[in-house]
Amino acid sequence: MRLFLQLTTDSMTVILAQTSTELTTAVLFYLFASMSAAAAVWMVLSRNIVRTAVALLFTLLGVAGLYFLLDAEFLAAVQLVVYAGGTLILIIFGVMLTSKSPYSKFEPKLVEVIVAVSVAAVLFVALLMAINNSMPTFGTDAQPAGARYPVDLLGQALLGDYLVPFELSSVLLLVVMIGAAYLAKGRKHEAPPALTTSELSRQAKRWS
Amino acid sequence: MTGYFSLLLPELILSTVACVLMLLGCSMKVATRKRVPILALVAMIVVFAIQLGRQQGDNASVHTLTDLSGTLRIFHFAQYIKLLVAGVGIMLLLLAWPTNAEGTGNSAMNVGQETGEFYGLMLLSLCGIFIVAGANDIILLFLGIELASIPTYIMVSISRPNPVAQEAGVKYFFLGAMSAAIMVFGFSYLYGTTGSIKLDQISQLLHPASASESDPAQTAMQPWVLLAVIMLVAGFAFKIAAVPLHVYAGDVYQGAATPVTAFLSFVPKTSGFVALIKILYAVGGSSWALPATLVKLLWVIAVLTMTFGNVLGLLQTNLKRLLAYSSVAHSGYMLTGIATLAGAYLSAGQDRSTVQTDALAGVIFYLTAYGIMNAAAFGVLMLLPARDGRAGTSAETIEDIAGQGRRHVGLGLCMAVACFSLIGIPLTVGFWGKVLLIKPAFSGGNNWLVVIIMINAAISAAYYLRIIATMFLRDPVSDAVEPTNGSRYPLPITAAIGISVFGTLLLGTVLPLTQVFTTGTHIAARIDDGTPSPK
Repeated sequence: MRLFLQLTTDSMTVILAQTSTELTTAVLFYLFASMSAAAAVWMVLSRNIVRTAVALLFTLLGVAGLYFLLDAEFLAAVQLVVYAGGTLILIIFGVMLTSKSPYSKFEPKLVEVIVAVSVAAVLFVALLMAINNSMPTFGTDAQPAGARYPVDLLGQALLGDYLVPFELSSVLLLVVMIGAAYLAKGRKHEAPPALTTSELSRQAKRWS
Repeated sequence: MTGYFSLLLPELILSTVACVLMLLGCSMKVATRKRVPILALVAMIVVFAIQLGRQQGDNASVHTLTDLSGTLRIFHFAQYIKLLVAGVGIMLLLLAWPTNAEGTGNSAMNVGQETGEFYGLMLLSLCGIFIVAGANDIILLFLGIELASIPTYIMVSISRPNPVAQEAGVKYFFLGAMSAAIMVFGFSYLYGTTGSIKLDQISQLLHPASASESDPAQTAMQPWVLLAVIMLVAGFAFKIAAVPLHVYAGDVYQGAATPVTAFLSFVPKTSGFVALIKILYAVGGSSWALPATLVKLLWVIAVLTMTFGNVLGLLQTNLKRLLAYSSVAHSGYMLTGIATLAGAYLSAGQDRSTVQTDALAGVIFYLTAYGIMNAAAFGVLMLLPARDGRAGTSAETIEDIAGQGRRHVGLGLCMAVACFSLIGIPLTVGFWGKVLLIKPAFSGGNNWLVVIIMINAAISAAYYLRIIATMFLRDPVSDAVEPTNGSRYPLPITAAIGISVFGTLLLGTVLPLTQVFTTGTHIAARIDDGTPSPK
């Protein structure tokens, strides 16, 4: 009897612990997901560039949180360091150094808004239809629940199976760096200013 | 299984030489900087020779190259594409040869101090297509496409010191980045639904070997996969300048210096087509079982691209803009081959696999023909002077070339050959290109597609003939300024025009040679031999 009681309490504890983990996960998921989604909407609707950047920060943080919940700690850390840290600061620097006022605003034309909204709507409806038809069936590579992605295996994969893509991305980064340095350096315009392409295309607009 | 070194030998040569070129370009001495294009040419010729050595006809063992992790699978298709790109790359390099005393440019181009960077980027961009052709991994495929594209954004800006070129470069970059984003979005869904990043494994997952070969149910595709493929098609459509993603072509082709325009009309297009073919093969399996929705989409894009390209081409007065829309139209012709290929599973009966092989071989042959014949048109434009005689500017508008065919008879005739071939008149390679696209379209039951190709060839004849007529029939404009710097017909550029015109005529008239190429493209239509890659 005593043994039975002992067993029951043990299993009760386990069940309770499981429920609370699932509950925590669910609460955290909805928290992070709603934070990302709300911040994304804020980012699109806000016209002030700095505010847009701040909204982007919250979107990226929310996505990093989702990665943590999926047990992809490394990816989450990279998301925080590279996107929330590096890229975002770069964007804010870019805004500060290029715009005349820190409060510069987006003023999209009505046509641009209509085009953007319709493209986004088409994509959204396509996604909804895909979700409605079937949830994606995942391949066999899915990790068993609770398995971690150890960082040492990740490093071995990058320098083993994925050596070629890894090295190629460094070549790509070299190209990008040269391009950025060239564009930042600027070059003297040796020729007298000709018609710019936008003027030419304005002239050609009735044709194309 | 082969080691990385021999698998990636051409790519390694190109990228290593590109880095050396960038270092050489830093030199203060003009003589050192003038060695840059020579080294680049040597590298291209070596790569071409290697690829020529790897074309061993039907012998599968030479072609079958995979690495231990299955990141790369190099078969007939990839080997042929590499040979083609290396060959056309030599011509494009010759077109961009610096001929002036300081080694900074030629009659149409001025790269200033950026000689090393320019040629280095050119080699890296060509290396990108090599990677796309051999990739069996969607990450590598994406990186390859971007390696082929990103250097071209910079090359457009470097090529001329005009604000026009800067604007074109920035426009091209932003639109290209947008298309890359859509493409990578598509790749992510493809990975999400199949759980694999290896193209051959995706193919096996979607079409297990146990399934019947000619079952129409094979074409059924999960909505997620379909969505992924449509996004990928949209991304590739930007690279090949297909309607409705062609809008950048006019401004960018016009803004870039003429040799870079020639580069743009071949390199991103080839990378887009190769990637499109590989993705369709991965999701359709070895029998190209593709759903009707996708076939319709490709059909509509092909027809719109041909028609818009040709009609807009009719209305241009700037020749580079005209050639830009002509290049859009040629993408459309090649897309008809892709549409035939994709539709054959559902529409063609017994001879399905013949139609598919013919259609794919037709696309590859047309890509070859376009690469060969297009260089001459741009080369002639480079050697003809502009009317206002601005430095680094050659003929651009239709007025510039008025009567020039009588003044420079040789150049006029070369332009005529290029234009006849672009129309598709017999005795040129362009004719065989169109024939080889039309034949599978007929046997695949796409009669309307054939009719539309014919109508479009007729429309295009109008503007190509207008170029020839302006060159020969109109009086020369008296204020045309001859270029003052350097010789009038620099050797490298005339060599490129010569190779292009010779190739166009030889492949059009000497039938055994054409036969060699058609057999070659039919062998190249084998994308994968189906051996399982290591997990």
